[in-house]
Amino acid sequence: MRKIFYKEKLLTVYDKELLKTLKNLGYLNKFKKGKLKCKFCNCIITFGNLHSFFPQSGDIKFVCEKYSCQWKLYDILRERRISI
Amino acid sequence: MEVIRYFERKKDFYINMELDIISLIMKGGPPTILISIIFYLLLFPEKAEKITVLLYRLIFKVFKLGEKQIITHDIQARVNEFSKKLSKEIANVEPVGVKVQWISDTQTPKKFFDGNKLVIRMRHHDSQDKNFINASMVFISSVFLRKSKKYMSKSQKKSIDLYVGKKLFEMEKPQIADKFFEDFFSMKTISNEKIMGLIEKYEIIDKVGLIFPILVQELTFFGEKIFYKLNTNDIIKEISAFIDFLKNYAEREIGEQRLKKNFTGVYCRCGIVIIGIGEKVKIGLCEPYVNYIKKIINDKIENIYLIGPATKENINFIKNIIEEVQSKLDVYKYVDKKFKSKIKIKKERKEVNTYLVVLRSKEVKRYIDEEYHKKYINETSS
Repeated sequence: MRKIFYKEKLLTVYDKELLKTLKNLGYLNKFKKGKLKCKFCNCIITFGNLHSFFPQSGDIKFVCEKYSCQWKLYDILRERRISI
Repeated sequence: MEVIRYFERKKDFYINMELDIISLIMKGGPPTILISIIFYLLLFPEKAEKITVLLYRLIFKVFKLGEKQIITHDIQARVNEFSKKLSKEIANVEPVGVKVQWISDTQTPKKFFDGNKLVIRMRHHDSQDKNFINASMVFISSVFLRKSKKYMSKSQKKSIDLYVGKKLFEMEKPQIADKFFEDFFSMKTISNEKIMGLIEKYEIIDKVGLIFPILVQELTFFGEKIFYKLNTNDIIKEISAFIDFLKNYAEREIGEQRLKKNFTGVYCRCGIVIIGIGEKVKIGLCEPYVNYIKKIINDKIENIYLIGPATKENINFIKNIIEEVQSKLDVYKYVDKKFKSKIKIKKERKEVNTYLVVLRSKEVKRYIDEEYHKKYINETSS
């Protein structure tokens, strides 16, 4: 049985390019002022605790590195409300 | 069939031939060795990517360049290698790989907001273990059993993702498997008895080597045969019962006959036929097995798993049964494989070589939600 191997793209941002990317997306000032919050636990997103982010209804939702928040993110992925 | 038997008889000859090829390559000198290496790397791109990571690590040490390439190729090589291996275990799963793409390279803000896609933050490759775990868990959550997860409970979905993650890390980075356990596993499972219970069941099923070739395969069939079914409670219960059925099978002592060997749910209908009982194999008596398979096919069993020791004699016996069954019934050989399993003999687990063949009925029922059927399918056909 011959199988086709296809690849899904996984979007990533590198640490050194994070600030530039946030600037491009218009979120750098909020990030610097500590106004970005984790979608799940509402903690302040910093350079030290950012796990990922995704667009939602014209806004960007940020996720922190807490395992409980990562699990909530995986739930959203399983429900296919966002994709990779 | 004859061709396969011919190659089996000539196995030793081909092993010797491989050794001859290696000595020929060595005799050919550097150009032949180089061409052979290139050929090998083209055949196994994941190995090439792993070598690329080593080269970039060297480049980084000297020139401080290639940081992103280390992260990219390390994740791609490991996830893709695992995915290919997994698809060999599960006959009905197409392997899905990963391609790391840097947002800065391609995305404009407009494209990002239109895309509905997750962006994962990657740290310096000193923290590559963390990068690898984050990327892998995101990948598994969104790709593994994608269709079937619609019909599974939260604990079923989470537990299977955790288990697959654990297998990936054990295979690709055994040194981080413990860390993964500490960080993810214990945090989630200890606080959730359901997930913990399911993972324990997967561990038992995995001991006899059936977690991927039967459990995940049947779950994949689930996803392919149910369409837009709105009431998933009955499906969730059936999946739980099926996991218990496989767990009970995995815990059976060798020779135990009373155990339930067929699972007759509404959506999942499969049977396990153990072939390897001395006398019948010795005298080549296929008839009882053929009659039994005929009976369970009449009971609308869709997938039949024939399992037995991977001895030459037993494999030939199973092949004879399959030939007869295929000539008499509406079934076809879906896949066969050899693997190691740990079966229970006098309460002790013993590793044995096992042979598995999946027979699949040509009449597989599909389930479409009634409302969906009325709304879309009747409309289209009228």
